[in-house]
Amino acid sequence: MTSTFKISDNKDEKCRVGTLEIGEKSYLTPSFMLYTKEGSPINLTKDLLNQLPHEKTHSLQLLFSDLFQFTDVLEKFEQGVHKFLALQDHLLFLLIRDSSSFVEAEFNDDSISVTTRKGKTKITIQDYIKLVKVIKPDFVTSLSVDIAWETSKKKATKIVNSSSIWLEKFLEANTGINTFGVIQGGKFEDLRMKSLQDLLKNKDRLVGTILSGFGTGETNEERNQLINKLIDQLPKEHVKLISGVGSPEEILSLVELGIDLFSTNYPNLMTEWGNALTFKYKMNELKNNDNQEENKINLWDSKFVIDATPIIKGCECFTCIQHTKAYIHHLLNTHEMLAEVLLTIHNVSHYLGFFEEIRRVIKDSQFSEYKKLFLEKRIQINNNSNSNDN
Amino acid sequence: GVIPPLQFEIIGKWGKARASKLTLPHHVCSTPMFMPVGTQGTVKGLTSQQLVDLNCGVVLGNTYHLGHRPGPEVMDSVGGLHKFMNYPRAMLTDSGGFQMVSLLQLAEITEQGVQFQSPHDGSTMVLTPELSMGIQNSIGADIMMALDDVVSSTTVGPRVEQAMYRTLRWIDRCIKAHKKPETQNIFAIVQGGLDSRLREICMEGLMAREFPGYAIGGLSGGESKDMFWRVVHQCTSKLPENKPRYLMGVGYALDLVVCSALGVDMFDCVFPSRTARFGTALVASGSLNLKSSEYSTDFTPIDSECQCMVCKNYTKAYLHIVAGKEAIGGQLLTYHNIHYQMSLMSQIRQSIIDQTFPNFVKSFINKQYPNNDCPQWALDALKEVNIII
Ligand SMILES: [Zn+2]
Ligand SMILES: [Zn+2]
Repeated sequence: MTSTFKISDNKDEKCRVGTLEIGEKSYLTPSFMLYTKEGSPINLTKDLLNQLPHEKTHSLQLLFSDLFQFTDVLEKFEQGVHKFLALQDHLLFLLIRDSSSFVEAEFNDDSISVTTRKGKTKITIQDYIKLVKVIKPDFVTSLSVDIAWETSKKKATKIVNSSSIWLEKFLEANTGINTFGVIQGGKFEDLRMKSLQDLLKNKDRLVGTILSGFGTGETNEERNQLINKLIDQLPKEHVKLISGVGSPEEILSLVELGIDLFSTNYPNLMTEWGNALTFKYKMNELKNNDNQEENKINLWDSKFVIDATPIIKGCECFTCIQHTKAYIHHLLNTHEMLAEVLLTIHNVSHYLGFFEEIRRVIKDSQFSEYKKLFLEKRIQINNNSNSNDN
Repeated sequence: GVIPPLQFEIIGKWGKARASKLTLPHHVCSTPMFMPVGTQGTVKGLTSQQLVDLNCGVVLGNTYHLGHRPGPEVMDSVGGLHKFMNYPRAMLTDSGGFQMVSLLQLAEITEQGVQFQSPHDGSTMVLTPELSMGIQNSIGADIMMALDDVVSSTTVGPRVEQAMYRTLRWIDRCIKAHKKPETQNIFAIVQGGLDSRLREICMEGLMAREFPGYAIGGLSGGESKDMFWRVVHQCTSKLPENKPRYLMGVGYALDLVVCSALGVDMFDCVFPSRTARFGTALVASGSLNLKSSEYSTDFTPIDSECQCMVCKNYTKAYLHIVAGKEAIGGQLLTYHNIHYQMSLMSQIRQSIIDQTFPNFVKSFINKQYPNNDCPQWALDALKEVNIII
């Protein structure tokens, strides 16, 4: 099904609010895509997923290496990946890069190496086209693999060239699936520009661009500089997606540069560590300077043992409406699965709320001020907690 | 003394089987009922809201686990387990004794209580009837279990008799130590092993003290099923008609059906949630191991008649991918399995009310044992209460 992407007119600023529509589903950007394992958002059964606050339709990152393992099943199923995964209400993006962990994958001229539960498999562009046609996600990345920032120029050149050839072949195959092109090239600006030029030849056949290979060792300045240059030359109407980068600070600097979608596991990583996100993200709360809260709290901390208050008072998520810090602390302490379930609900909801506020301030032309306030506050809190530690 | 906060009203009977309305401080329950086990204040991976969505009535908490973590002080300060896990309906706690004896190598029973070495700091501690009641009062469940002297159902000889008499002596200490008789009920536990004479003496002793409900303990520990049902039958024949009867640690489908026929009202078991985590789904025909490759392309739900969230949305083929591997597999299968137990109990209940209970039992057995291989003990037990398969 063909998608459309409408963006807000934003005069001088590059940040924008977009509406991505496909069929009956409508989705607002900037936003982040939920991380999945074997096709399911971690710990979120259908009932829990569909009662998350802030947005009704979610976008999810399906990992090619996960889906690859059951494409034969999907082919027999015939009713589509959405129904198979009980995700009919949501947007499914088939991605090759796993946003939770970066391992430089192997590749050669005609194939990439995919690591699955059963071991490594080589996937050629022909295999990929065939599998994508079976999986039928809403959106798909053109074949490529991410390389590390510090990768040699030789390897970076190779992946740029291969990705360009694979993009041509992928588009020739007319899969009928909304496709994202990929910009590769590691830290080499000339290679990035070459990758971009190759992509632009097909720009009208792509719904968006993935800025690949970030979150692999570069500094924020290096990343922002390069992305700034790339985005300037990309069509405005392309959805810009980045994978593997997703802390709140990173998000704000990248939204400022015009990134629309984040493929990140940041909320899930927080959950794994027993953290609950508590940073303030509402403009009016940021302006109000006297509430010195923490950016996140660790619920393993025994100071929560009898704390009968929710993670955040007023948070609209199920966890905060129903449960206390003391209960979650106990569930962590006793290694109960429900700890992760409740933390996932809160952390994902918190991030959804953060993005909702980002969209709101962009619409109200307050983004620069918002970003400034947010970062000031965050630095201030981080400094305070550092000095408390000493 | 104080009138216990429990009402039991039989609304339908077929033979010994009864359907009833059990009113507890936090919920009006319908029996016969299955009570999911939430050992440490959670039924594995399910939220309290999901338990309500599944229409669970009573959820169990384990005193041994909760007494250790978070501990009675926390329970007191947060206002009890209901508030702690935000489960608005009824709860029941065990005495802690059974878990100690079964989990700790060095547990030893003395007249004072269950003596054990703390697995945490090695110190010697004693779970007395007073301490058990104290912890259970802090937890605040609707039903507390008296501390009993548990022996394995395969134990024979004087130890069984000793345990039964000690259970009777401890019961008075439990009653005396119970600090919240207005809001919490004590159920006494019938012991006596497989010896009908001892069971008789125990029941007489307990019934003389008039409890709001009675449990049948000391079973499901490896005894023959033939002995098992006879003890249940003996107890349900003698225990007061107007009080709920709870068969501890029993939860396999066939046992639920047969023991409901024998007049049991309440059951608990970790099996449905435990087996779910290992990838097994409960169905009318028994159970499905979803890890088996035979389901890899089976695009039907676990049970096409099941109305649960899982069966309405997920196929066996998808569950095969996540069963026993991903957290979500455990969450989904636990959800379905608890729904299965609830639905089985509600069918038992409705058929008792509708006077169609024998037909229900027959069709249940036909589905579980299509090759006429239903275990003989079950057929014997059912025959005893005039249900001829
Ligand atoms: Zn929350
Ligand atoms: Zn079901």
